[in-house]
Amino acid sequence: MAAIIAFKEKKGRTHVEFINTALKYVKEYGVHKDIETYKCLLDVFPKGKMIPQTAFQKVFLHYPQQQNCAVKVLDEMEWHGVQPDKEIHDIVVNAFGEWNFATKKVKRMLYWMPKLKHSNKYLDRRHVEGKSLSPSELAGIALKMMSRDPAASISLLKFSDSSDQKAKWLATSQSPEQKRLLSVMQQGEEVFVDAGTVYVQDNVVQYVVLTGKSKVPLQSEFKKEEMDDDYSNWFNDWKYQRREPQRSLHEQPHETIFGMGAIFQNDNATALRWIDHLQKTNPNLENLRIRVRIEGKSST
Amino acid sequence: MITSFSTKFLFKNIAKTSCAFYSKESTSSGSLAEKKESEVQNYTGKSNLLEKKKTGIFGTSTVPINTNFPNPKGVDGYDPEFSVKELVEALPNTRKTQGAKLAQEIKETMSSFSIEKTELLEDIGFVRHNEARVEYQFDTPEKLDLWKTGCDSDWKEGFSTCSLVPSDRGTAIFSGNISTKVLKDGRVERAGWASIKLEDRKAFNRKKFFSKWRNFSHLLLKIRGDGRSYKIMLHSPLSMDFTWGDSFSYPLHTHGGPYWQYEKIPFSKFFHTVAGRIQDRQYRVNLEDTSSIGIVLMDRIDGDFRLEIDYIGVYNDTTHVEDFAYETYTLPVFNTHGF
Repeated sequence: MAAIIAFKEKKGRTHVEFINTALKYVKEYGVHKDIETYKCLLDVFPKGKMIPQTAFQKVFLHYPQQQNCAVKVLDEMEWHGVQPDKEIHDIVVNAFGEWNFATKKVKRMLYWMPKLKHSNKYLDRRHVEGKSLSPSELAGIALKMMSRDPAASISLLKFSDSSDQKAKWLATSQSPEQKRLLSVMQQGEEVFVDAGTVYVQDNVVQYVVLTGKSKVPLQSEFKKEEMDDDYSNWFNDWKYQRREPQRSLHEQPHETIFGMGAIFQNDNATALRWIDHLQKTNPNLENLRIRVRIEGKSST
Repeated sequence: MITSFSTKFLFKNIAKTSCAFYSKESTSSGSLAEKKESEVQNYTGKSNLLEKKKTGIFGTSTVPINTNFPNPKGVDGYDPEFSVKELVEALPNTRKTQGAKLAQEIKETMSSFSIEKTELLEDIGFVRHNEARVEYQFDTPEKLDLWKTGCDSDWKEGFSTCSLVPSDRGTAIFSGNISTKVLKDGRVERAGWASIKLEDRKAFNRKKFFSKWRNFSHLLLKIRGDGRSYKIMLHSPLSMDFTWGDSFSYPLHTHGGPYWQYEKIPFSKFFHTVAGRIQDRQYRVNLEDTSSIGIVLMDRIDGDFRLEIDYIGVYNDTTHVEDFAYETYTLPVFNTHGF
């Protein structure tokens, strides 16, 4: 930033070369997600000089090098997912005029990017963007994203048995329905602990999941409806419809999910501590055979 | 200008490279990637990199149009060097495979030629609320073969990898690795994409359109992702070259984790893109012109990805009355798009 201000004071002519060079190192300095960087870069262009005056200048690319360079900066901004604002629009307008090619680019960005910004209904990007989140906070966000049951409660447990308290934690997500499914398991049945990864924007989160065999027989997701006008035994039809076995959300086609969690390091020993923690709220877990399958499947 | 009856189906190995053509985004045209690998390696003593793209009189375009097409015929994968002998040799095999396809087509048409069939009623427009139709599944190798994969390393324009493999649950797993590292050849500006695209054709290479979907309101996918955001593309290239890059897109967000996700995307929300770029003039997707569907990942995040797909279909929600979700401004008479 200081370099940009220094450049402006010198009033040099090589704007395009300066910006192109600066753009190369934006990611290296870690400021590629900051809108201020792009504002500063676009502010380097002199104001007023490059606004087209005649019709000929308007139709053809006026100051082509500069405009292409500005479009490149804006494209870089879009690539890194930085949302444009009114100020960046005004900076470009002051440099290139209201309907020039570079201005059209920023107008398109202003139109489309906010439209698609919140199209993800599973993750609120405001919770993640521009924040430095700790691994446990990220795990909480990931569990909230993955738990499809609105009744699921997410809890975080921090260990105090070590000198560095901050580094050791367990997060758990379980709903009352999952507890009920676990409590009706028979003595000696197998449950599995598996590992997986999920992305919370550009952060990778490792999670663990407790699963078991599905008990409800696999049904087709689609019901074939016959078009008949036969209402003679409507009462029996209706009664049968009510008595059909209902699958809960947690009984997925090939497995039943009893709970999800995230731990500070993914290995079998730590996963057993997570199971110990689960056993406090699910006493039936001690009657079951637990198979931890984390190591050998994923590297920690 | 007009795509004539293509000889592409004679050469299976060529047909496979054409899959990712329309899903490429800001990397430039893949005409040079058509070069055979051996040809590139023969240039010893010189640079092993591909030659720089020549700029034509009409400028460069990321969309394949007939001014930047690799061969004079204008047909993707057309090789002017093949002999009549090769053609004669390939003929019996083509007759066999295409004949079987045609026979199957006729059989299907004959069997569904009845007013009693619910599917026929659906096509006419009798689609009820909550009605769904599963169109593409992945449980057999034949069904899986309809899908082609593509990523930037296939075009020698990056380092991403991808694959589409069947799982033991009768689903397909689209997985690989995305790398946004840019190849330093002075030509490629962006990298890091992977995609799958449907190549479902009728006998004798005729296009199959999704016109049966037009009475449904939503696209339905049963998927299990990894939290990354993919993109659905409905490709609708027609005969004129300026429509070859046309597609309608919408992001496909996944929540990750062990739960299956039933993603319903209204057709009204798809916006018009050409080669991945959003257009100024927007209109609703016309499913009668749409002939292919693709799933693309280009989220600028380095790392492994994994998307499990069970099926792709359509769903009808009669409460969804929206025709098009975006503003369709009336442009002035004299504008850059013409009249």
